[in-house]
Amino acid sequence: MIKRLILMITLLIGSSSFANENKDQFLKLIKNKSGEYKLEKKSHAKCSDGELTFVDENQEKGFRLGQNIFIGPFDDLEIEKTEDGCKVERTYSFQKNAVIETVKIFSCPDSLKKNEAQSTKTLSVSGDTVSFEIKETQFVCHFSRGK
Amino acid sequence: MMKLLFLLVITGVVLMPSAHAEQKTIGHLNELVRQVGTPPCAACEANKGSKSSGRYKIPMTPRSKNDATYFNKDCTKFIKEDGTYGVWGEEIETYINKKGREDSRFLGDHIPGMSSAPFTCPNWKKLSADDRINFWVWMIASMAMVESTCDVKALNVGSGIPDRTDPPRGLMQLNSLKSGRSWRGPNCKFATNGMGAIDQIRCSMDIMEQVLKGKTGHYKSNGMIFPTNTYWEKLRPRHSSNGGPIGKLARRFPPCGAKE
Repeated sequence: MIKRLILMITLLIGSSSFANENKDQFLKLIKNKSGEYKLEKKSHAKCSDGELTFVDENQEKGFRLGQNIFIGPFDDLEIEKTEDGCKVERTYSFQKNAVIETVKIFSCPDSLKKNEAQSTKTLSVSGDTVSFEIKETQFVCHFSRGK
Repeated sequence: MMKLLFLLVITGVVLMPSAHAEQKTIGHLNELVRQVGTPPCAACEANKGSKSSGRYKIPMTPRSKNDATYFNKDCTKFIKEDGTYGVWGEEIETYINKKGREDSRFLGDHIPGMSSAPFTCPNWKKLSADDRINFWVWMIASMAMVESTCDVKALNVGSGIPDRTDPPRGLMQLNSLKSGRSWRGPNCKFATNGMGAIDQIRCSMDIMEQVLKGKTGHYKSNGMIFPTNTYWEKLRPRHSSNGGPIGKLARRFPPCGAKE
């Protein structure tokens, strides 16, 4: 029993530090890849050229690509009560070259149940290209670094 | 011959550093001029202190069957039917006053695109400070009319919305998610799904101020209100070269003398 407990704690600490390492590496990658990006393929009018940049010197505040793609902030992750009585939760999963932001709107009052939703946003970097996707609506943008 | 050649070489040796020094001096002077900024506008200084040229009612009926350049009744919260400011208009005036009024970016003499292409307000430099504030109230009202028909409860949940957790919402159709818009300005941190008109207006003014900052602002824009890289799609160059339907409404502000 105690051995199992120790094993569980060890795995937990290990995976947490692994996740932090991924986050650090990914944010460093975004910093290195910051700059102007041109749209390559698009599926929606909201995809547009733009700058990939952190919005603040404090990288925890998040980063954006152009006008309408924003990931973050990575701090302040408490469940928020919305003005109309729903709840919103954001979670992040980092890989070395990608981040997945999951946003859930839930526990809305009965009259606003239709507003409950989830969006799973993935921003990934490969060389000098960046891709952004929202799984639930198949919204996809592909960018390449401008010269 | 040799003497002539020698003379030519000496002349070159003497003049080349001078030419180089001259170029360096010109470059240095140009940099100084850039740092000082644009030249003062004597007419602007004279006019800024003068009073408002009047109160201007927003047009609320179409002039013809196909005329879309009018405001609906809800927009009278910006400018009332007698031309005085409604509560939303007063909020915009308060915002600009807090930013330094004549010293704010909103009332700057040289906002690109006002008296230059696309000539949103050709008479800009002749307008008093009061009239320039009136222009901004009219401009934000124009944006609200096109974005939401001035309906504070407007919510865009159409099938084309990419992110169902963050639909455009409210008077100015801003992000629903607080997390999605907080970075845009200190007044953009109101709660998720917030519909308050005053919050929406203040955040929009924050965004506009960043746009007016040009390359030093969040958006590294061209400093024009449109067409420019900005939050609102209809003000971007890909949508229109002169502000689209928002531009058409803005150009109806009478003191500007703009061609619609």
